[in-house]
Amino acid sequence: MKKILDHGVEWACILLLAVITVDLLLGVYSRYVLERTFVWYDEVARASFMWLVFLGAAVAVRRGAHFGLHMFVEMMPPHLKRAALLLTPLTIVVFSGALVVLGWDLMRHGAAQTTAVMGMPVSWIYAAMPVGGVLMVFYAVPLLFRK
Amino acid sequence: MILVAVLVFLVLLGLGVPVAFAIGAAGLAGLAWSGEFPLIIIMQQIHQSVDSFVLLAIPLFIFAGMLMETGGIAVRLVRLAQALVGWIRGGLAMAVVIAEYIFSGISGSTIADVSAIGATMIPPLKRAGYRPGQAVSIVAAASAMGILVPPCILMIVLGSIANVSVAALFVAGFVPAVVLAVAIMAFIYWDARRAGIAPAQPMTFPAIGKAFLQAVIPLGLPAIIFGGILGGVMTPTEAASLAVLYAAVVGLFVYREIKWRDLPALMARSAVVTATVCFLLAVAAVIAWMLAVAQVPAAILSAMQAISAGPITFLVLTALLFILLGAVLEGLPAVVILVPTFLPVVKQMNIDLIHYSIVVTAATGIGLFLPPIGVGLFVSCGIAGVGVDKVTREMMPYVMMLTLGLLLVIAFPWLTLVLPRVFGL
Repeated sequence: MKKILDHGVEWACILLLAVITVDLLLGVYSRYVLERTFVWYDEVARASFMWLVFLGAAVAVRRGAHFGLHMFVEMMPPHLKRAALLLTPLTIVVFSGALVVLGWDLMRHGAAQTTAVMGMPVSWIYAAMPVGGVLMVFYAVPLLFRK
Repeated sequence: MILVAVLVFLVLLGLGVPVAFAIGAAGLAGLAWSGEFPLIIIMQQIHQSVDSFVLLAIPLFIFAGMLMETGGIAVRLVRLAQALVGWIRGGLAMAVVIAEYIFSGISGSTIADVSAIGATMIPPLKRAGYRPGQAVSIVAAASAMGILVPPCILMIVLGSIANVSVAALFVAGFVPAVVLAVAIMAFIYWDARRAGIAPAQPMTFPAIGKAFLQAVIPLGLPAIIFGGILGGVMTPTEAASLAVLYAAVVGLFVYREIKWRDLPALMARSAVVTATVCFLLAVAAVIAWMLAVAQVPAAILSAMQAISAGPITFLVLTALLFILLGAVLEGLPAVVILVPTFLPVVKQMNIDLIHYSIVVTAATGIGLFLPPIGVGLFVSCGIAGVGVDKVTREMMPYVMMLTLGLLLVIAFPWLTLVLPRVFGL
């Protein structure tokens, strides 16, 4: 079950990067070759980018890829070190939890708005933040119970 | 509000919490503590800072870089560099600097540069009799300089937060990078003379020609990027998408060093690197906003006026600050938080924004490799299998030379501004 989710999120990131690349190439093609710029390419790229950042940040939590400073923790005696290591997942859970709650609020605020060109509901873009938040909580909680 | 945020940030950072989440929690705590503003401002700041066409260049340059960072391309560029400077005393070490200059023109990420050039050059340096710590220092110093050679992720970020043309920043980096490279190579030459290292090979034009021909395909990438940007026809984001196309064709069909089945893993890695960079940038914007609301920029301005600091003093202080913070915070968050805070001072002092951004970029680059905690230095030590403690003393003269080069750039803004002016950017 967890494996399916892990792979699903990673493939979503891969797909989003592919969409951004192809979309921008189409944009360049339309502007310089067709000389009639596709009006939608900018919005598609920016919406995909938003999702890429928040889903990718969740994958980074799972892979431990977010950069941190470990110099002081390494110098601590073992029992203090164990306590300090709990603080990382705890902080991730708290901040990601805030992303979920506040992101949900933002989605409700923006429920009626749509993007300028494509008329896409803005809440679809905002949704990246709470969804990414849920995934980050999901990936950080197991770290709390790590031996 | 600010005090609470800074305290929370420092405590969490010290206890090993990833920078992005330490910053996020600090912003949350600060806002909750003051109670003056609705918490939803956090989300608006995060959304605003990511929702930008300029930043789209980041995933694309990272992706293109990953496609081009295969062993074969690094080896070809190193051969070219060796043919160019191998005949000078200390030429092998100088070739590292030259190769890094060219390689940075392909890859947008400093850490990726270190890995590629380090893995290719550290073994031959050791074989030629360079001490391991010395070999690591040379690669680290060259990579610190390389941050100034575009494309550069930090410049894209600076362009987006300081509202400067990224194209102008890219072009402005070339000459200061040469200044820093010459500073390092001068020390390498002096050191090689002192140690009595003989030149490795004579210079022959056929050899240079051959090495150049072999490097033509990798060199095509910077040619496309800067041809497009300097021709004034393309934005850096558009040029970046063409760079991905070129790199994919080269990797998959010409050199065939990348297999189709490697592609998903490579793209996932690009996505994760992009996300860590941009997530950090997004949450750091919250703190930058808090500093602005708390009138910190005005306080800094009056402090500068109180000590009657001129532009040069201000730039030197900026450089020192970003060297230190670049080492502690991996550069990027310091830039996102502090550059908006300093902008009013920069404008008040009539310092050109392009010049200022280049000084910040160079200082951050030096900070990334500052012993004993610069993250770039750790990566280089990891590649060579040498402890950071063994490199610290060897690295110091290089840090001095880089800083000297930066001071020259600060003293002569012409060095940064000449190319943007020539190209009308």
